Amino acid sequence: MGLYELIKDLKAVDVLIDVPSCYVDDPLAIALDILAAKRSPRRIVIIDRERRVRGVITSLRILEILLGFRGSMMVKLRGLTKVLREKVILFSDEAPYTMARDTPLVSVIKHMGENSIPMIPIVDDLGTYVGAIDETRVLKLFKGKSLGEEVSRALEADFPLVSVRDTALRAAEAMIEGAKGKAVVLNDKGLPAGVVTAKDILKLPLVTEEIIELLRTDIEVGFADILGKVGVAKVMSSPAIIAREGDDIGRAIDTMIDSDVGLLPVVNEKEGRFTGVLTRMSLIRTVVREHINPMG
Amino acid sequence: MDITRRIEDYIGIVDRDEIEYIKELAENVKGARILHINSTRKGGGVAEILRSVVPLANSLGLKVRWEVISGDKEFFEVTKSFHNALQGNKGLKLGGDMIRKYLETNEMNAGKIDTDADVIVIHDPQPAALISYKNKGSSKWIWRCHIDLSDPNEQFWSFLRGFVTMYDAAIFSHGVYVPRDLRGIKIYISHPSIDPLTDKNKPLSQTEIESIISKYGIDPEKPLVGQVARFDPWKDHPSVVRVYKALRQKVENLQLVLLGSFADDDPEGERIYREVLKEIESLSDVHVINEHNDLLVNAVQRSMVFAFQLSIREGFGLTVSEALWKYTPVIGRRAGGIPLQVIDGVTGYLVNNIEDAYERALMLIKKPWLARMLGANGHQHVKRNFLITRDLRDYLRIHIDLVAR
Repeated sequence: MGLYELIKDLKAVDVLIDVPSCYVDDPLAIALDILAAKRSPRRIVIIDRERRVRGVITSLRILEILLGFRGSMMVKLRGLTKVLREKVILFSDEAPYTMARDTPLVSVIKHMGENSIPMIPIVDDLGTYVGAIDETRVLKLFKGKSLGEEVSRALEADFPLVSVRDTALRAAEAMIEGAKGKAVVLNDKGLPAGVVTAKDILKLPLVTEEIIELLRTDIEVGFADILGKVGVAKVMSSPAIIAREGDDIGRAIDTMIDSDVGLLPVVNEKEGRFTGVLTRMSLIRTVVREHINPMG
Repeated sequence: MDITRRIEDYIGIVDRDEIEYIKELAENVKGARILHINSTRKGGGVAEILRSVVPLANSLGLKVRWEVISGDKEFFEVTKSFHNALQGNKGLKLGGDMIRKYLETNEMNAGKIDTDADVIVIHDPQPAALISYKNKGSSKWIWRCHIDLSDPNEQFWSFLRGFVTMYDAAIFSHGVYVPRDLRGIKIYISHPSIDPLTDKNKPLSQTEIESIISKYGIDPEKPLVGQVARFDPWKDHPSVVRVYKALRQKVENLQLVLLGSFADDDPEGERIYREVLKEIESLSDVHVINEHNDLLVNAVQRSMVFAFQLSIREGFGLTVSEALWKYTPVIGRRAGGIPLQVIDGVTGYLVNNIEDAYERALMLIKKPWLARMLGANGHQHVKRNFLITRDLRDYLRIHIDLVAR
């Protein structure tokens, strides 16, 4: 059965996942707490008391705030402690983009792939948040399929890269500059040594402990100083789970799902070089383009 | 400018909670002095959005001004080249004369416009070089880019990038429009929007619709399809005519309307307009209208079985949201923001060629229930994602991020 046949009769509501949510007036610290938990999502949907979607906040955004890239005036004038107690909605990410629950799944997936939208909150007829469909959920639908295409068709060449000798601060800055929540860590030979995510940095005990201390004592700390003293090698996931240039896209999807990672560095084994990365979105874009777009 | 527009006017169109939420956001930047600068007060999507956003933000307690730069014909010819080159015309060359004209005009405007504000939002490339005259102070400068910079003419972009990187932040209409080499400034994504209370989008009665379209020879009793788009080469009017000719073989009384406009000093627009007229000269029931008339756009979009938007390139293509808001589904190409607005099979159809467009068009004509269903979905999609209230919310969030104390 082809991928299109597999999903053509499904609706958004059939595959919803429960992306955690918090309320618009919850303090920012709550969002940080959820995102820094051990097995937590990469983003949180922000809802109001009527459960209408008002925003989304990601690990990357929290990192930006801690390092003064966002809400900088507020952080400067009030201090980080007060900012962490501010309403989460004031710092929320991109405009929420919602779809109705009975939208055909094919349309949802095509829409995500064609517009590079990583997650779509799903709402009922009254606009109430009922769940979401994200990249991982989409890829899980295609697990165990051989797609007959090499991963080179889904490569992303432009991605944050750092050296294994860099600090966690440099990795955070690279992610912020590239507006991506992950970076590939390269060893001295230019090959992938690991992958670091915004979430990895938020989960650092040094960071979480400092935040608890900060909220307890109101004594300001500089997170840039803290991260500047930590080597990225101590934060990253390693060894890097990789894909090889000749691998089938279906196999790469399986690896991502089985290993619970959102990024696979790709290497050319013959030439011994790193050639790019596969992301959940780059795989979805390729699947949409080649397999579930029968007419247009 | 409608200075009486208030956020409460939108109660009933969006939920009351949404209004309360916007007011709450605005509390965080009450009194903030915001200055928008663009290149025209009339015509074009930017001016349309500002006409609504400025009074609305003022009604929420912000102190918002809107200034327009002035320039002569030569300057606007130069910036038109900028526009086309930045949207992907690789054949254009940036000459020394063009650079001089662009910089001189920006300098002249810098001397005239009072930029004392907390946030200065510069719209599009025309006034982008005003950043060079930024005073020392705490003002935050934002470049609001309304065009697609994903594949720009490198010569023009590298010139403009020098100015853009001096800004504190940039806003793009779509994540995929952000140039890959733009680094070091904050990037925000905010889709453009339509205002449901303007003449172009407000509700019209059946009598009003029929009276308006009849004046232009459109028969309210016969089915109507068409495209509302400026007469320019990117809108691909010839494809619309070709699809229509094929449809006419199956639906004898089908009418086509091509409604758009071009400025008096726009030779390219006039050329396209003449070509379209020539293309349809042997056809009956085709209405090519060159007129800037918001009520006519409104009535036409409400009268169509579906709307075409077969543009090859688009800034964002807000005419799609305008049609969807009026419960009219859209058949569009994958250009600019069209795929964001047309959810394939839900609010209309995305097509790659005129054969696909013909098949989808015929299906919607034969199955009016399907067109109604897609149209209703489209209305909801726009209500959730592309109304001016959402745009205002985005601006408030950005202002909070930059200057909230």
